[in-house]
Amino acid sequence: MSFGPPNLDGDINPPSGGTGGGSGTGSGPGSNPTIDLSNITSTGGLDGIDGVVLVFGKTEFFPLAIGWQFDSEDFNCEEDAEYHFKVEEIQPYTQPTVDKVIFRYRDIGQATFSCFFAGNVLSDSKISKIVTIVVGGKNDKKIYTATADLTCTFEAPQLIVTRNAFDGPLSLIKVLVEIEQGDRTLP
Amino acid sequence: MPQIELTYKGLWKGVDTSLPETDIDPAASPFINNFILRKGEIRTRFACKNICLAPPDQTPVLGLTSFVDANNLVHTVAITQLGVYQLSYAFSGPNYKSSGRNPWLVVFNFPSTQTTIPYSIGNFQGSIFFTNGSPNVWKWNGISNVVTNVGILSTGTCGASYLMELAGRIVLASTIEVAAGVITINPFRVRWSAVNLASTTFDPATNIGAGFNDELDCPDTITGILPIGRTGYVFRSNGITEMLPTSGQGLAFDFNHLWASDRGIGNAYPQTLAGFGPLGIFGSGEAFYKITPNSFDDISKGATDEILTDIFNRTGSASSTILPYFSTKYPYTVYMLNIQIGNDTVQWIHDLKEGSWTRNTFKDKFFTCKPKYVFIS
Repeated sequence: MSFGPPNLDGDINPPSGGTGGGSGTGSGPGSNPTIDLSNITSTGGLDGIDGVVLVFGKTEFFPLAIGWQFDSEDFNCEEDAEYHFKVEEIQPYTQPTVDKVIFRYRDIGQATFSCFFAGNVLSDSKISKIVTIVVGGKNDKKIYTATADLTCTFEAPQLIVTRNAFDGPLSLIKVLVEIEQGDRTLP
Repeated sequence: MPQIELTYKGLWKGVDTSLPETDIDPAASPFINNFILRKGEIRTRFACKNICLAPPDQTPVLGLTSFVDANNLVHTVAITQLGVYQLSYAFSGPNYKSSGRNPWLVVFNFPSTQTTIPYSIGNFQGSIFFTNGSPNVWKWNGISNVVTNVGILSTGTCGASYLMELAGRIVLASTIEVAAGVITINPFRVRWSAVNLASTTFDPATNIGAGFNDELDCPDTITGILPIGRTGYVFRSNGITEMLPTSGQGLAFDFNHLWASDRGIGNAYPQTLAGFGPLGIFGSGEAFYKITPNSFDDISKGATDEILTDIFNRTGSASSTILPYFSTKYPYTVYMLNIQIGNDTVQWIHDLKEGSWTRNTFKDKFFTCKPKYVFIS
């Protein structure tokens, strides 16, 4: 099967059963392309074997509309991702200390992600240091463990996980956070 | 000091802002962006990949579907304001995708430019029927090289914003009709064909059994239709009307509104209605609801405020679809709501099996049609 040069104005229909490409029959932007009815065969079409989730749309910086696939075999998505866990109110007027965070994850490829805690110290919003973790790479779909040495002492700590665009497919199964409760100091 | 071990694990419950973030379930989240929740995993979302150019006429693709014709061949069809296109067989050939060629083949050019409303597409008896608020109902069987207008009346033509099949008839809702060159918009009207979709028109004078009914007993206009079982649901901005097939003389359907208040549960955002199997989901002014033959439930729950805030901030359309699977190997049954905000799309995903809501963003991408599982080979 051979293919001609790129043709942005549309191909002719394939012959019956469809096996080939063809020369362009298109016209200029904004107008209807020329129809060659003799090339539209009664059996034109597809076999119906492979399917995808398809959507059409536009972007600001490219003049032509585009067809995008939502690819369920590739979770290395092109955008930043972020997940906030619930805010932990261990006990009012305590400042618990986070000692360690343990992640259970499924290896669906190498991924780099970050985690940190947000919380309060003396009524001021704070965040902990940001720990970057690299997980996976075997892509064997099995479950493994990773640890983040992340220590902080906050009131109402909240674990936040982020992953930058194209930094790999991340699949978290379970998160364990070890905490010392801290003494209660009433005002 | 006492040691505590906090455990977070699935099934994950998705976005929940119905309670303070200190009081939500540990499996819930006050904020999610570009993670999906499925089978106990928090996973970065599916990649959104450019796989082809759109049809070349440079008007928005407003409809997308695959259907099987009478020869058992599959046609993947994209419909723009100017024409109908089918995907080339050559698209699945080696090197075609990377060649930059446009894989869409012209089937038909409309005689006039259609509106910018998304097409309502039905697939019946080996043909597709579609309309989008222009005074035509188009039909293509995948075999003929002619796309015909079956929206014929004795006085002119008709089309509609919404289309479905019920009791062997094509049903149109919120119609637009042309007679003697005069266009009449009927946002209250439900119109149906005679039985036998293959050759029917919508003219009661020539097709016995065709007819129409105006929902004049309700204060609001039609914003969608959906068949579930033998019942048709006509959605209004603030209410729902049932249409049931009759077996006697007179009108082919019996219409009864479930409620008709001027503020109530209805499909407030016209393109947020989606159906799948025995259920339909729609966005009302205060929540998202699931309707089935024997139930009616608020499903947005903890994510309601966040979803409605995104809808409030929209700069383009909000439209939805239900996807049963992303591939034959990846069943993931979701209600997917896409909202254009500027040049971006915000996407809310409701997992129909696990009940969670998550939020995705697509920067510098705005969708012009509803995502659809279609064949590419």
